[in-house]
Amino acid sequence: MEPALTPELASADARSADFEALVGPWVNEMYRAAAAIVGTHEAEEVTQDALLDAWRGFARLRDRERARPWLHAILANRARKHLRAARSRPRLIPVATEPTNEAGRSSPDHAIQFAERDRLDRAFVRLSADQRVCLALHYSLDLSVPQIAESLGIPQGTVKSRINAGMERLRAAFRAEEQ
Amino acid sequence: MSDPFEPVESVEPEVAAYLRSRGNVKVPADMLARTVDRIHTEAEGTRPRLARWPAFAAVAAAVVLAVVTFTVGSRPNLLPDGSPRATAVGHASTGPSPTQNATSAASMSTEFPESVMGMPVVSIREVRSLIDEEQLDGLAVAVRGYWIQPFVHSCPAPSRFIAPLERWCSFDVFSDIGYAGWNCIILGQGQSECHGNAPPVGTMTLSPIALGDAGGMDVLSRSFRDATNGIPAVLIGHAQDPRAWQCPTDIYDQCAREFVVDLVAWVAGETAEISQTDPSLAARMSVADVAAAVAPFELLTAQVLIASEAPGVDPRLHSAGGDLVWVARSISVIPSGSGDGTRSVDVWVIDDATERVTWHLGLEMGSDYAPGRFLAQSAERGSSQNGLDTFYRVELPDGSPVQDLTNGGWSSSEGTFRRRHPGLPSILEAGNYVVRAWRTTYDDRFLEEHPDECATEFTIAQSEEVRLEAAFPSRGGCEWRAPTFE
Repeated sequence: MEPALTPELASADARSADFEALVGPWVNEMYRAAAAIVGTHEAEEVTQDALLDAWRGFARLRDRERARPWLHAILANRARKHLRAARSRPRLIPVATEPTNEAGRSSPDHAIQFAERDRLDRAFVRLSADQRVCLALHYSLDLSVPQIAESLGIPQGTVKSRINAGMERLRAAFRAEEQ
Repeated sequence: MSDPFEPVESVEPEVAAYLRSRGNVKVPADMLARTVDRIHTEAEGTRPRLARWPAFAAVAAAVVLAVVTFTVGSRPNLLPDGSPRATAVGHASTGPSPTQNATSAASMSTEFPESVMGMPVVSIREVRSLIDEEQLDGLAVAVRGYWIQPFVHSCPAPSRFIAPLERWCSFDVFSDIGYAGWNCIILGQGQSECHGNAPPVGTMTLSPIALGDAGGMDVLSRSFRDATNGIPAVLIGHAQDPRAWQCPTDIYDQCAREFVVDLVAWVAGETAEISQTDPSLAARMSVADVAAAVAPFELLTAQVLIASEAPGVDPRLHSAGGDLVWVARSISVIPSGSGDGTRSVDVWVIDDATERVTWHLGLEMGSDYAPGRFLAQSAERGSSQNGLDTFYRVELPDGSPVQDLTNGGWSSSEGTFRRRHPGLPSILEAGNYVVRAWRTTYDDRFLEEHPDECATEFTIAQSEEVRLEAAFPSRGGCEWRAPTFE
């Protein structure tokens, strides 16, 4: 027979279960967004740090219906911090690898050749953190501009301008590749 | 040029596919389980930390209650020229004096608020940790403590322009324990001797910098009349201010670490209002109008300025000419999500005549921000005539104004040439620019036509410093050249 939980421990366990139930549906999405922003190799660290931030701020979440944009905001902030911290480290340009989907198979989108991807990777890591976040949320999570604006607490015009500025730089890299 | 606020019309499918593929990754199966394990482990570790402040406060209170009460007499003139009415001998004590802690207990009786503007109020220790970890770039935090004004004997000005975030003649201390910043001893016959005091041992301090855009300073200043052991206050501020780029490059890191005050939000029980208006500038908009313009963000600072002065608040802004603009900072209505009580800060420029937002950007400098610095100086034959000075405007190649520059108020002579030394540098993204120079009076500096005007193109790279000199020979006219003096 297990020893009886003290009210304090029982309360902590209940809070933990409550937290898991709230964030569980969104963990995969957070990981994918993190991978899109900082790269696959550092996605787990950023996702875990973001979830830890969410745990710390869990008590202040008043509207559980807004859990998803709340988690997006936390992840975006953690990703920005990660990129800032990375400034003091040697910059790693990821080596092009064949993209895989959730089933672990090669991506069917063979239009992206490895050489092209390498050029786009290099252009992507030169984008600002804000541009990366907006592009990732828009293209990797298929969030609309209003949804991103709500998540990040910024005007829609700012989201659009960040997406456009980031896209312009990627397009420039892609066009240079074509020439 | 495409409208930056409209979506990109067409996106190459390869680029869109590339972006989608970045997030099309296999998520580790046990991701949530491992994360929850870590949450449990680290959450356990955070519990004692949350209890640290009350314990620290109890120790601090015990220390300050153990010493005797001491009050000082009338305050000497603390103007930077170091000429107090009474004879003053200024020097910092090398250690804590038994008297300087004396009345801290009385000051501690004012209870700090738990939050201001919806932000949790944190300790100086926590803020210093955030600064050390470079976690206050583009983020504001609310911090509690005592504003201590130390005794300032003198601070001679260097013979060059002083950037806003350079620590010149700025000795104010924000301390987690109230103490007397100075003591004066009345010697009789109108004479007194004053000593500056170092913070008591173990005190955690910040050295806040409050510039012209900081709100609530008037409330703080009023409170100093009755203060002997610092003013209990809550400051909202940030670090990594873009004005750090205006500092000489060798002290950039120091400037970037400065805690810059946005708002003195609470002073000894009084909540400060955001009221930064220059009555000499006849603004149409009120602070309330500015607050409405930045909604749903919460207004943090608001200052009405001549457009050419806006880059003095944020050097990334392109703003020139003599129209009135409001430069404001706002905080997000939702926490930054990092759990450290911070809120993201945005910068706004609002045209006073049209109430239109002309600039809106995050305060965060961004990981790749490494602008160039452009400095302009001039040399003119003969002495200054009729109050003429040299003015400069940096433009984009298409003629769009970027920033106006002035001299630094410092001049020297070499033979028959009068040298006018550079003022605030223009902080520019890498690219091609045009700079124009002309001489006129201060009041006429924004007129369209200027005699002796000359222009030149220049290119600036990331992190590069470019310095050019406009020469005004006695025969009239003007030409740009490489600098002939430092």
